[in-house]
Amino acid sequence: MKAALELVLRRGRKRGPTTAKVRQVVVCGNPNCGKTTLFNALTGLRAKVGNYPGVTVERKEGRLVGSPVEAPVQVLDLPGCYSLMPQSLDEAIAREVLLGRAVGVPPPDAVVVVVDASNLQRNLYFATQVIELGYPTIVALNMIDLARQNGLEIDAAALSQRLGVPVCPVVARTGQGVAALRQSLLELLRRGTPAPEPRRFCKLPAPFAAEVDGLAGLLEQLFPGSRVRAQAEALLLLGDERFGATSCVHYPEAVCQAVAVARQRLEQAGLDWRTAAIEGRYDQVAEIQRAVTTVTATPGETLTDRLDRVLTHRWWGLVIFAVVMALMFQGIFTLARYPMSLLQVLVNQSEAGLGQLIPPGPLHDLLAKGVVRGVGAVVVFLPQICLLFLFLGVLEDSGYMARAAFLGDRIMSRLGLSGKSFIPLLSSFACAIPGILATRTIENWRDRLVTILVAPLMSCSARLPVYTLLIAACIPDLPVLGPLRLPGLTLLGAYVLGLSGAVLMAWLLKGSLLKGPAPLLILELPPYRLPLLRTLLRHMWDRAKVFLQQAGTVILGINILLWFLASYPKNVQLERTFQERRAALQAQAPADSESALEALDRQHTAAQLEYSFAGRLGRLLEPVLKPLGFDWKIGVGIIASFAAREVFVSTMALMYDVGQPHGDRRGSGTLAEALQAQRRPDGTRLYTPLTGLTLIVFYVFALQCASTVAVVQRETRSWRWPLFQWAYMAGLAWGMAFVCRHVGLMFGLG
Amino acid sequence: MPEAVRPSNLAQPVETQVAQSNAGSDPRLQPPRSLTALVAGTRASVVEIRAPADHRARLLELGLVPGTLVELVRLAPLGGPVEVRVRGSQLVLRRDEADHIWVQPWVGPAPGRPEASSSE
Repeated sequence: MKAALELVLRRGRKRGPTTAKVRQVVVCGNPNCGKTTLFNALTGLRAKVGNYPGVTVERKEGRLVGSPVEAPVQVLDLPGCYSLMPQSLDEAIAREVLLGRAVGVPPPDAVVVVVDASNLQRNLYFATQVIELGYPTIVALNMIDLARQNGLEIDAAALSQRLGVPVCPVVARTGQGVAALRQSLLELLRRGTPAPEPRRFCKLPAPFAAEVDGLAGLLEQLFPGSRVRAQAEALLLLGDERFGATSCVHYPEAVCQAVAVARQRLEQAGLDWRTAAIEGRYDQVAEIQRAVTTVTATPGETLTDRLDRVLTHRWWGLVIFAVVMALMFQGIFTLARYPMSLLQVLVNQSEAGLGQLIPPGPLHDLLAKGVVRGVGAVVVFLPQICLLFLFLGVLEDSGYMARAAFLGDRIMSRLGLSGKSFIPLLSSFACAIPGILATRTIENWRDRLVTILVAPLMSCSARLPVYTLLIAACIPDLPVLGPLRLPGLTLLGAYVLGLSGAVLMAWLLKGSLLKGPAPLLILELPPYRLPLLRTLLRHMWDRAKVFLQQAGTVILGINILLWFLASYPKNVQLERTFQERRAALQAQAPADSESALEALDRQHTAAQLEYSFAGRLGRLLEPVLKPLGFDWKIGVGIIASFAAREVFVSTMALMYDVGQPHGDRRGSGTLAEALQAQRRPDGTRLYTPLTGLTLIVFYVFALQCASTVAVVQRETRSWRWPLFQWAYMAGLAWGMAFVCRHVGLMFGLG
Repeated sequence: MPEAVRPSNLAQPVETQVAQSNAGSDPRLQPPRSLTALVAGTRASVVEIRAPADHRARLLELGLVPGTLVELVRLAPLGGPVEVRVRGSQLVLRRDEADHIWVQPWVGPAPGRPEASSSE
């Protein structure tokens, strides 16, 4: 029984024989203490980002720079925690790793606790908890420059003596002290120090201490080979609200019972077991901090304080935030345009180049239209994504992001979300993909999921070509109020509709499916500082890499599928007819043979499309689309534009045999005219204003973006949520379009 | 600074303890009230956290242990979050969460800043 338990709990498991003994170092610390900067400094550019099995918590690992080849050192960056008594999933994972219980993660050989010198007490609270666990530990005393600025001088040697572990002062941002830290770490690993004598940094009342000792004895009996000090573990178990009669995971029944009994005894003695340890620890930690700190100056109002008085002001704060956001989006839009057109040119060239290399035929079609065009459509987004993450990086590293969350929290909490959802949702106005990627900063998984599910409703920039086309084709240019005209108002209306939809869905989701207890919102307002270019670029590259990997797999797959649906089956008769017409045209060689050939090709493609699976699906969908006033051609457009919304415009151009718009208004104008000229079998206009409006409403809500689905799948690590998202948005799109049409008909807009 | 109130001793209700420690204690301390009832810029000492259990534990773990000196830096517009300085760091808490923190405000300058030292 005991043996089985040990196996299940993975305690003290002997390492199997390996060629090179990989040593595992874990880096932990409070959020915002510079842990990740230090991790980056220790591992260089060799970090690998993944996930812990089964959860959406990011796992960052890398090889230590300078570690010997025969005994390599792997460094793991844990999520930031305030305490080993977890409040969030992130903290729970960190605790599992530190207690040596995480599945797929070997227990650490050494631990580096990063401590923020300007915030010493709170950081020491966590650090002492970790030191008590008993691993060979080093404390990295980070941000000593900041502490010095605030007039606090910390004696690292004295701190080391009090804590009983080596303390290395560092400034992770500049790299100062990192080399020394690395040396100490390697030394620690090489020595294989027997763990230092047990220390407890906690002034406990006598009955409490007695209970802890008793529980520790029990744990030692049950788990003799444990790497973690039983005393520390007992203390954590006893004080942890969440560990009790109801949730006795990971531990045998005997332990749970013992804990329950101990707590009863303490309550009878009039002691609050929930808080005794916390207060006792802070008592000790405050004493340590006072002993090692010298106050060299009492700074008056810092620059941060002065800036905050304006930036988080009741009204000015919001105004400035709006201006910053507007500048950011405008900047992304303008700056990304040139690289994006460049990439588009490259993609077009590749397609043409393929035409030279590979003779026309299915292979050429697959590569040119399926692969190059499909993946190219996504890769073209790269400049936008890079810029967005660059700007987000600046906001985050400078410290402004926390202030934005502070300002936006009130609005967000009305929806059941927190201020941390504010910026991801705003970013989704440009493109939902980086917005969804930006939700990684939201720790609460419910909030994060709701933000992800709702992000695509914020009208992204890809919808703009669709809106523009439909407005030009269907909405008459009538004045409404002064300079305001109907087309402009319709555009604004589309954006407002999307935003309202997002707000409504967030509120609904949070109130029903994803209802959960709201965790404590804790934000820290770090001091303002200038972001380092090196860090920004690195961050940007990490995200870009993920995006490109994504493009190369799921998006590629979906595009190939869509290409297949639109190109097959081939009608032999049709092909032959067009071949003949082509030959005839080439033989004639009229003056404008180029454009005549192009026109022929377009007709060919349109006919092919009608005959293809996609065309048949369009006809199949017709009963569903009829109540909305659409016909099968629009159906084909909708199916094709699942790859990307802009494809709707090019598909319509194909269906109605109009030249490809090359980004100039004339092109889209011709298409708009062509749409206006369309007639139903009974002679009435097909693209009436109402049809156009209904189609716009449809596009406001529908999830027409394969890339988004793929990214959501990756971020939520399942297909359930992206499919649910697609389904609810499709339902919403159909429903709202239906309402729009019938309300319009009632008003006689028909 | 008067003897720090220790509500970890559950035998007596808080009010009695406060009254007891106030008897013959610092006249600069006012009766206890919620943190969010203070004016921005006031300094106070934490008395008790009256929140549901796990919120309470987390607030305590952030350093809001009874006797700690805190400063209410500002309140966000429209009933939004509040910014607090405690033990050298600046934290932001939601208004309804900060409502649970009961403090005794200091009249006039409090001893020390909530930075270099936390309790005396």
